[in-house]
Amino acid sequence: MILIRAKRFDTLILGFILLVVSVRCSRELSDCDGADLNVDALNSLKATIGSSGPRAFLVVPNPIEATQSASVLATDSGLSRVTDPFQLGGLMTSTRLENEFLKVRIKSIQDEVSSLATPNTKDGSFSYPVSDVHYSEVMAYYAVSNVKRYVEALGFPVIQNRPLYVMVRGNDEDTAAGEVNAYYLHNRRNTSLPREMILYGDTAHTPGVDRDVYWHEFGHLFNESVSGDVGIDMAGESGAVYSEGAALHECLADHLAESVSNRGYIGRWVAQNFSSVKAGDPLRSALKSNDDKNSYQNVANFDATGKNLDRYRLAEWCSRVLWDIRTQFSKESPQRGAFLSDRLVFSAVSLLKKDASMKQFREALSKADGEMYCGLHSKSIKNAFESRGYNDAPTVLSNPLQLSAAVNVYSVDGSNITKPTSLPGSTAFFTVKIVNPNSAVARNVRVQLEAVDENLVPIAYSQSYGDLPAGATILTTQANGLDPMVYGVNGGVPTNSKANRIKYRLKVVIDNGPTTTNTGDFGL
Amino acid sequence: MKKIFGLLLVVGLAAYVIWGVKSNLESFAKNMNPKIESPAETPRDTSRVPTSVHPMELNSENPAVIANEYLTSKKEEWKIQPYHELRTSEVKLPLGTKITYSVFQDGVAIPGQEIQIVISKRGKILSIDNQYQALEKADPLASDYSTVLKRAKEKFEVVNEEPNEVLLYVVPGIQKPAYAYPITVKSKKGIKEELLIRASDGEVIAKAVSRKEF
Repeated sequence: MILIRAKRFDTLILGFILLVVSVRCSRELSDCDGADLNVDALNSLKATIGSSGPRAFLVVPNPIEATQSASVLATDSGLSRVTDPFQLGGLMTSTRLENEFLKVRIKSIQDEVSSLATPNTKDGSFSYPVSDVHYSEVMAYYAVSNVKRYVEALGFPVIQNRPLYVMVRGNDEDTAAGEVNAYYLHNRRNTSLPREMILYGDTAHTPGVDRDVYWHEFGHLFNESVSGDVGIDMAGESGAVYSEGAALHECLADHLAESVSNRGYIGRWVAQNFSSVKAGDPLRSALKSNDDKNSYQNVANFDATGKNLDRYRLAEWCSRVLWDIRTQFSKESPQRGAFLSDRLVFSAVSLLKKDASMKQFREALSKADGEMYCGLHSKSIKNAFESRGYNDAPTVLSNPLQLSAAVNVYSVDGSNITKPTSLPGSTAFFTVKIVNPNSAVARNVRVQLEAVDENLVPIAYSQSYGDLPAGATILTTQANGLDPMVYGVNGGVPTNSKANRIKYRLKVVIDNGPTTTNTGDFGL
Repeated sequence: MKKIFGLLLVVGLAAYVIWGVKSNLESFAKNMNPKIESPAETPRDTSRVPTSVHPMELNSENPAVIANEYLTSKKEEWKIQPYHELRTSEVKLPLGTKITYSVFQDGVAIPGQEIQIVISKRGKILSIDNQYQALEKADPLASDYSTVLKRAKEKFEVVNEEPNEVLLYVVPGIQKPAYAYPITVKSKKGIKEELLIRASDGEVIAKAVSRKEF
């Protein structure tokens, strides 16, 4: 009897252990795609931004896409045939394109309210010709509200502690004459200022007509939000002309626009402003296969011409990697894969540091996949990077890079640059020569300038140069096309400095090897 | 009858476990496969795609508590100074919670010194970004905003005179932060620049370029 009881007890214990083990082993099928995802809601968000509010008549995403004609103009009367109605939800009043967070303006924050778009039909709708600036205002409200709701539906926050002003045709005085551009200002330190999205260019293909422009710029605000309002590109924000953090910012902004539209490219309308883009082609594409941006080495390796010190080249490569990952997710689940991929990619952003690198991002994607999807896509992620030339595990370099520097001191007064008569108040520009003596590539090479005492204030304190192949050299001279005033670090000598010689410390930091540190001093 | 029922239960559980372990091993083996395929070649594997959605709130413990405990355990190692106050903010994400500790001295923020900890929904620490430095205590604030603004206007065309919050800025390489005011000016080239002007002497100690272009 005692024996039988013991056996029963053993059986129960064994059963319990097996139950625990089995529950653990089967976790991947039940718990591996994170918190609730309302696919229907996410899909419907792409069509409208509310079930109430005034209607807006828009050509989405832009006239070229809507008509499939690269030669269409904003003034073409035929555009009325491809105009669709959209409900504008979330307005504070039905007559103004704003709510507590989003405020649409034309030229500046100070625009007179009377100059802004109001409903212009009998039933209270916004129905303006595409060529009218008020049309761009309506597009701005629709586009920004739409993409904001999309990321929120995915489960991400959007930082709203300050309003976002969108200027659909910014003041010319804030940019070069005739420039066509769009940018986002986070105004991180200037707490009295709002967030600003400013579009420029009163041209036949004005950016305000293109939904992708708003979605891309919103992507920058979104990156800041997911980072916890700390940012991922501190070097870029301090004046670096190039950094991997800056490239990631652009890549993720492109990817957001490409994902929400599900098109894999951006800016077919706005691209028509640029002679470098073929008629009808998009501004940037995650799908293009016939250019040199499909191989990591082509966009990341330092090139004496400086062509890879352009954040958009690495950004476009990166957007292609992300599109590959998204495509794989979509193959696995046509209904939900793309949303799950978007959630993965932007979750990875939350793991990035203040000066983010491609290495960090690659690792963050795997970590996010491991946490959210039980690591089921680790191979797909690895494949996506490797098939485009990215080596996860570059050779660890044994020798530090060799660094030498020359300092030129100037007195800078706007565009007037002269040789100074005294050190105080001058600016020191560093010309650097960096040699990779190793037999393998140095990854993510950047120079950092530090003060040794109060006689130097580094301003553009960090510059990145991409990957430096084995035996290659970086030389930032004007003769080389790499003006040290643009591509180098610099610092100011305070006006109250009494020193005759100014001490400094320069570092060369890489992802896969030791840091090089040089100290020196300079005078007049 | 009870014995048969018990036996069936054990057999059933064993089968369930074998299926679970096999599934996991297959998944593991697939991920360990060194063969490189382009994403387009990766076969669709629907068996590995979750078919239902479940929130992952397996650990009900407050992420802030987990982060605080971790931070407390690191206070000595990270040399967190008694005159530095760490204020928290939280961002809820699909992945978990990102907790940011911003550093303040006498109620003034020292940007760039943040500690960020991401806690998963299971209560695991996923990432730590520690930018904190055991900085010296800053000297007292020497000038108020109006004085600094007046000095700035002597040198620059100030775009926005609205007072910004004073902050403590760390010049790269220097261990003592300095009080500074962000002021937006228009450069002689006509471009807006966000400058940080040191309160003690009106010196420009940083320029911010928060502009992200298309």
